[in-house]
Amino acid sequence: MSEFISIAIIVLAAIVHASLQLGLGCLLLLYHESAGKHIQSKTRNLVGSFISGVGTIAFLLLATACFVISNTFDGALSIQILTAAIGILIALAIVMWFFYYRRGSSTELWLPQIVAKFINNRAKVTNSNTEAFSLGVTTGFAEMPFIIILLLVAGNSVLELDPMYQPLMVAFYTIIAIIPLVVFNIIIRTGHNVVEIQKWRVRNKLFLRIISGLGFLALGLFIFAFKILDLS
Amino acid sequence: MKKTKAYSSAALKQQILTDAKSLKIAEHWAETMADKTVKYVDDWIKDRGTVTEADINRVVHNQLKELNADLAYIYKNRGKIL
Repeated sequence: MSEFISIAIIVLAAIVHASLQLGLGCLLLLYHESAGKHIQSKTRNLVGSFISGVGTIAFLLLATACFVISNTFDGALSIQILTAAIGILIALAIVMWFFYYRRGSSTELWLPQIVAKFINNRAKVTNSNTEAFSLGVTTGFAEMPFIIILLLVAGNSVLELDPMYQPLMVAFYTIIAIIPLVVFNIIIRTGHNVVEIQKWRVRNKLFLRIISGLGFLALGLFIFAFKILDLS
Repeated sequence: MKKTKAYSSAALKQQILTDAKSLKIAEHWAETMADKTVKYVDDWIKDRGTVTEADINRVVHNQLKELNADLAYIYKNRGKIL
């Protein structure tokens, strides 16, 4: 039962991670800028490298979270820290519902302007696979205020599993986290253009906002029920 | 202080062609749209001393929306994806 709860927390945290929109926005920008300048195969390579960058940094950050918990917190987060984490998850749910997107019919996020401009400009001038990979890494770092708590709770749950399965679960988390990018990449490759996808995002902004917020809330409540109250 | 730069018809045309290529719009049609739009913006900008990039994007959007809705959408939402 305890393994099942740990896996459920990892999967739920990964789904919430996947619901964040910065990576997707950046992918669309990169695709649009690149498709206007390069041949299709080059654009596909750049987008592939970008997704690899996002995946690699997610994997490494989660592995780092596991390492930090293992060495600093004696292998597991205490009840007090988990309680604080639940508070942060609920706060992030509220942030998702009311502040994550800017007002208006766009998908602009409440990122610091300097970060948004930097990513915008980098997407425009990205011409090599290395640059696309590093853009993916940068995007991962730019999402840190939202994902750090997800990484901590997921890392804590990873450490509760059999050591043989721990790297596997870190990889599993990473795969779930990049699924939206992979899916949208496939959608673009199969003939839909960036404008159609962006219009879809704008139309479903409220839905995406609610889902993300509910994800954070559900994760917080799940940890509260099974780790703090120990209902299992 | 905000950075300023001179308006360039050639750069605007190139930008429209790049955006059109990204949307897989036929090259000849893209060229026609770009020429029409740049001419319109050139006329519009003639009597104005200073304009912002947002002003130009708005004018380009207004002109392009009659010609190609998807391409116009790009100019309406430039810088509003992230």
